[in-house]
Amino acid sequence: MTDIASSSHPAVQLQYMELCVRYHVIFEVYSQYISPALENFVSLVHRDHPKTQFRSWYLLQRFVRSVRPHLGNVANIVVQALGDLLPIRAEISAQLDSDEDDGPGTRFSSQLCLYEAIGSVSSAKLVPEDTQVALMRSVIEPLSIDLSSNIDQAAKGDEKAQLQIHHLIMALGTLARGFSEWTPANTTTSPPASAVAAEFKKAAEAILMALSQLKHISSTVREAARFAFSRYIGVLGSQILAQLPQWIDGLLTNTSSRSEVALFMRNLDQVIFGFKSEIYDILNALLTPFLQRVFTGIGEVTTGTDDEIELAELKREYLAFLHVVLNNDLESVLVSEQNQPIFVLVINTVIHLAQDVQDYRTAKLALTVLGRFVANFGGPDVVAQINGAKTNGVHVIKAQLPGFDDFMMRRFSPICWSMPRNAAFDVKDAQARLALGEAAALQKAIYHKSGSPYVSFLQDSELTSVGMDATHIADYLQALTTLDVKGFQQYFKVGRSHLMLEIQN
Amino acid sequence: MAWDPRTNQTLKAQAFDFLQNLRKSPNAWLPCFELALRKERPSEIVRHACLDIVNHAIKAKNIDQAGLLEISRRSLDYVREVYTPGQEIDSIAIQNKLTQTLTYIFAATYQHLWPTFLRDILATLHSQTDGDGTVLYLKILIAVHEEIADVMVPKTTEEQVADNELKDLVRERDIQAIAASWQQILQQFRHSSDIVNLCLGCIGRWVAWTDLSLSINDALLSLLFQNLTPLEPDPRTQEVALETFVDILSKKMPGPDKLQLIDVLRVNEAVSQIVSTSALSSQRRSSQYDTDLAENVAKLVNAVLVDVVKVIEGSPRDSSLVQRAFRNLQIFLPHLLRFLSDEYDEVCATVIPGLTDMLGMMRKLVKTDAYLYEETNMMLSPLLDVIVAKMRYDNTADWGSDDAQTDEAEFQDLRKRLHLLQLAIAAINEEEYVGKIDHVVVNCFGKGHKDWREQELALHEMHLFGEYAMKHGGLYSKSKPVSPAASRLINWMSEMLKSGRSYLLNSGCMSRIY
Repeated sequence: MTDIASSSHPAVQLQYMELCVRYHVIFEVYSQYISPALENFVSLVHRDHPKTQFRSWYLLQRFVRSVRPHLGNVANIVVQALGDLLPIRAEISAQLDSDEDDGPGTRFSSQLCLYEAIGSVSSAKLVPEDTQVALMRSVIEPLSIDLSSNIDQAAKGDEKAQLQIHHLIMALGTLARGFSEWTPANTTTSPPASAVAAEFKKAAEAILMALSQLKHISSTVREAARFAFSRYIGVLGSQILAQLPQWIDGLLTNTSSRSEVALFMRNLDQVIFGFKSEIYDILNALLTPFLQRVFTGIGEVTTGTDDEIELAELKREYLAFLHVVLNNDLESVLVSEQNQPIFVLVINTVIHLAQDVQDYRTAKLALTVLGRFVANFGGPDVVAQINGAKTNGVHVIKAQLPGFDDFMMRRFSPICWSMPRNAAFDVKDAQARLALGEAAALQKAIYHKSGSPYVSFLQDSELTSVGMDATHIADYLQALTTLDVKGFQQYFKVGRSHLMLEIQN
Repeated sequence: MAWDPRTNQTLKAQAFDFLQNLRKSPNAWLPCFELALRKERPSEIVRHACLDIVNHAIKAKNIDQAGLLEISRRSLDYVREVYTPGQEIDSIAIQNKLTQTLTYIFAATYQHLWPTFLRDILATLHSQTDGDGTVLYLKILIAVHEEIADVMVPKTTEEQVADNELKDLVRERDIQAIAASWQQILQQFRHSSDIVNLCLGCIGRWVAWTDLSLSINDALLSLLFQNLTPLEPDPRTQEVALETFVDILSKKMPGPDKLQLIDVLRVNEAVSQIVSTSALSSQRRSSQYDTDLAENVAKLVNAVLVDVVKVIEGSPRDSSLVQRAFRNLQIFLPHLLRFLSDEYDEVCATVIPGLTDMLGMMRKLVKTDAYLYEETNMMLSPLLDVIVAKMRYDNTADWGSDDAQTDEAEFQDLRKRLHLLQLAIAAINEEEYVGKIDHVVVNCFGKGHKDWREQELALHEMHLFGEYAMKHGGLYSKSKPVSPAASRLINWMSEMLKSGRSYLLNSGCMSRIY
């Protein structure tokens, strides 16, 4: 019987691979064909016809990924066979457009497919742990050595060396991505065994070394490092925590753009969420310098629409960060000895953002965060929730932060009116109404934490200062004390917005 | 003076102004007319400009009845004198301008003032033995068509009404004589391809709004046929003859009449004749292959298919009509196959629209019509054979080289269109499609050396097949194949995968890996 894979014609070879990838489900039933197919693939990726070679590497990676659950212990063979294709050589492209340097279709971007494939085959369940360790070491070591040897040149401004470092870091990151798809949110799988993680840790160290020396010089290196960082969360497990200060130091320089900071924060949120029980000390130590870096970014002047968009992104990531901290019982870092000084600033920034009528999404987020503050720092409920709603939504009822109840009333409560009273507030905007809903929820939260002192406060000072007459006030307090959260939100949105319009006019 | 590039600017401007004024002035036409047709001819430019002013005046209805009569009489006299053999006729440019003059006169006078316009022009010009008068006559006829019957020109309602009146009058009064003149011309001047082409072009236009039975008769047809397959190939004449066929064919008419027309025109015979000429047959694989001719004939075949399908779809419940029409499809099948399988992709592509229409019609109707079901199925197999053969890289294709890039892109486009045809056939009869692909694949994986083109074809078809076999995104559902087609595909894949093992274990490749 003639066989297809031995055909020497590149068009046929490529089609063979395309079909294996397209109909990969077949291998779930015919798993006995996986090994021979893989052997063919590994042989075919060495054919160097310009029209097919890069595509064949991409197809190899796709194939491996799709049959990985059924792969046997073939990693050794595969990695050895691919060895000659792995060395990376950065080329500065002749064109001025540097997007070509790692754009799709270049040799380098296709090589990344090979690295990912290697990561994937090595992490197959049937590959023994010590094999995994040996394999990763064999791939990582040459890359790390190459990396280190280029740092000096790169630091002097040599573009080619910088690009080489970028490529090497990307390869190290892609290898990790291929190896492990675990993320902290994933409860069904787990991060790699610690011996394997240790190999990746060494890789991370090499990356951090390069990063520390080049962080101000090359944004492409920073970009590659951030890519690697997000992938290494998946392979290092909690070993990443000890490195966290170095990552932050390297990725959040004063030359980093807002979007870099925002993207990094997103990764950081993952780390916090994933390692909430282990991260307290680290987080506590780096919180203040980190937040200062963020505030600098938020405070910088914007020039143009792109800048505006990035700024909004950054604000939201900041709020999301606070949210993650508060949601995962880590709120005490904000008021610890090291970080107490910055706490007021944090509160003030959130209060400020909660009043932004230009950006309702951000305002809503900020109001939510304030609600979380109330939940975490306001102590146990003084007044029971209505309709048996859960308390706070947090797992542990915490003691009240001294002085916080007064603080809540005087600082948080007024915010709920600053937006609707702002002339620019558009009550017809759907996002705006959502923000109003959060404001209402905040009031409810404060009420449940404070009880009658809050009612008195509202009655005696706040509501009158807003402009309500006695009947309205009574009405309002009735709603606040008797309706559940949803009901009160409705009341607030419908009733208050009308009232506010009246007051405005 | 106005057009002379040497004139200085101010003089030029003055000259233009003068001409503009002439145009507007109500009586300028007469002296201009006289100047244009004067025996001692002024320069070209002057004559041209004068005629332009006259034409403008006629069209704008600036001339009264008496004036129109005068112009009519004198124009007729003029052409009678000038367009006799031995006289020096006008240049092409003046002829065209004069044609315009006469056409406008026609539009203005045919109804009442000069009802015998056409007959008179015919008599005057056509009676000559040399061609010049005839040429002018035909040009006038064509111009008349464009003036009153060209559907592409937007007209106001009043204009439409006026045009329709004129058309009615032509049909009432003169069409027979004119049709007869066409025949005479084609016969008399059959050696002059210019005149023949002009005449055919005229016929092709006029058939759209006149009674065909007047123009189409055996005599005309045999003349048409002669032009299709002349003793010495004459591309321009053949092209015009083919276009004329298509023009005649595309006239709107009820279904039975259309079928009748196809018979009457003996299109099948015409196509067979041309196809068997050396230009299209023995030369087919040589560099002398007349691809333009092939494309033009293919257009005719395509037009027939489209028309016949329209007839069927127009009255699907009239079974005798449907059967009659279907027989035409069967008769034309060999021609369809001939051009679909043509090595030149442009020729192949020319018949794809008609084939697509045909398959679409079949899909709709075979469900309800047993006769059609039988007949259709017999046609599908040869069609599919040709389609699959066209899917294959042909023997001259050079895969992978840099200068083949546009060819490659065009080929992939053709493949997409061919696959749509495959799917259309599958929609009519799934087993036909699946069976055919099965045959291709099994052949590919079978014993013996295979050319890479065979292999690539099989794999490509397998690739395309996936979309057809996978309903709702998968090949399997609860570990079972989702459809019979999916089962087949799975079988083919396992054949492909099986075959690799023995080779690699024995080849030198493995020593590197192990």
